[in-house]
Amino acid sequence: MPDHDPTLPPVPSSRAVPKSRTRLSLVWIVPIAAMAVGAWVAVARYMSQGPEITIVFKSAEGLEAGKTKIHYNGVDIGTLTSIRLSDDHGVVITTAQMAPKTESFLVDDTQFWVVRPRVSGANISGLGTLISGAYVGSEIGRSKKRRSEFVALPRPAGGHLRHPREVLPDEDARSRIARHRHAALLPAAERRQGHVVRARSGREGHDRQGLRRRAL
Amino acid sequence: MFRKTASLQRTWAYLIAAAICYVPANVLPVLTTTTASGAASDTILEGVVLLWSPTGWPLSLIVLFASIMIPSAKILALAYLLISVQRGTVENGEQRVRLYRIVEFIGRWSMVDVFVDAFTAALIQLQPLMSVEPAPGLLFFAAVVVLTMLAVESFDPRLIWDSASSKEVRHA
Repeated sequence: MPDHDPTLPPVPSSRAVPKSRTRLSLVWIVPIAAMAVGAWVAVARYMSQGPEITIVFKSAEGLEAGKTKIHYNGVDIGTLTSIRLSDDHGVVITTAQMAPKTESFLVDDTQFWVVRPRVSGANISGLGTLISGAYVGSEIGRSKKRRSEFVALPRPAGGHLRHPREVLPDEDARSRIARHRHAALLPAAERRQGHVVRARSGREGHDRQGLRRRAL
Repeated sequence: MFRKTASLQRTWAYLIAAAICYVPANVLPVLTTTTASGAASDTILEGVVLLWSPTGWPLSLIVLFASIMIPSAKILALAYLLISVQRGTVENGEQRVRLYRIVEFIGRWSMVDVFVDAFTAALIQLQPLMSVEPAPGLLFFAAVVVLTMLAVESFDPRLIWDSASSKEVRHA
């Protein structure tokens, strides 16, 4: 079929026009699904996070950021997320990520302490922590006032703890202890109200160290 | 006729999906280790740091390469290829084809990390003393690997020299 016959009418030449692919492909479901799942995971993680609190310890011995749990009556209610020294190197400041819905636990007179093996006189406690490592114990206060910064007790409060409200110290002791360097870590308003004092006074009579500090 | 259909669009879709999954893959923990001292979850990067020791650093490097650098390099390389094709770039066609082949070859090796995790989880089950379980991040990581492989597969390397040949035609 060489050059066509000049006697015939000219044949229109044809040219292939590829089908344009501008239509949205179904593949776009894949990134949309990825986005949806990612967003869902992010929201789920955000929702599963409770409040963040600061607990001040005298020593971080046995505590580990990201591992040490906070227990209340044996129930895991939070994890220590960071451990650092205070600016004057006097105390250890830790932050803890609490479980969701623990806001009601974190009140004015809630107390924290480290549970580690202790042998003193006839008392042996915290034996379980020999293997499991230390954890932070807590005693939930009855106050209605919320709080996010706490000073830990130097030793476990135990079940025989008298309610802090019953042993509020006198004005003099308050101001004395408010001057203590731990108190400097708390906001001024709270310091004035003597939170630190209340947190410490709970174990009056059980704690010789505390008495010594008071005597100073 | 033998072209991959809607190559650019499909590659973009898979690539964007892979890039989205890359974020949770690195932020979420991939492995939860439960020992007597409690449970700890580690992300890929934390794993790299954990593995880094005077004797174990080669393993740490392998994980760093296979799990963090290769997936991100793949995503970036594919994005570069796609953009250059769409802008009709003519330069370094040969190099870009080579880049495509490397990306295609290297893709499956990222799955090493998923296998390592799966093996460890299956082998270390000394309950109640110690157990290892995969965490949600691993799912996203596997998704990144699969999605980048799909993106590579749906990319048509002929597109790279398409723009070059069309230019030649115009010059001729």
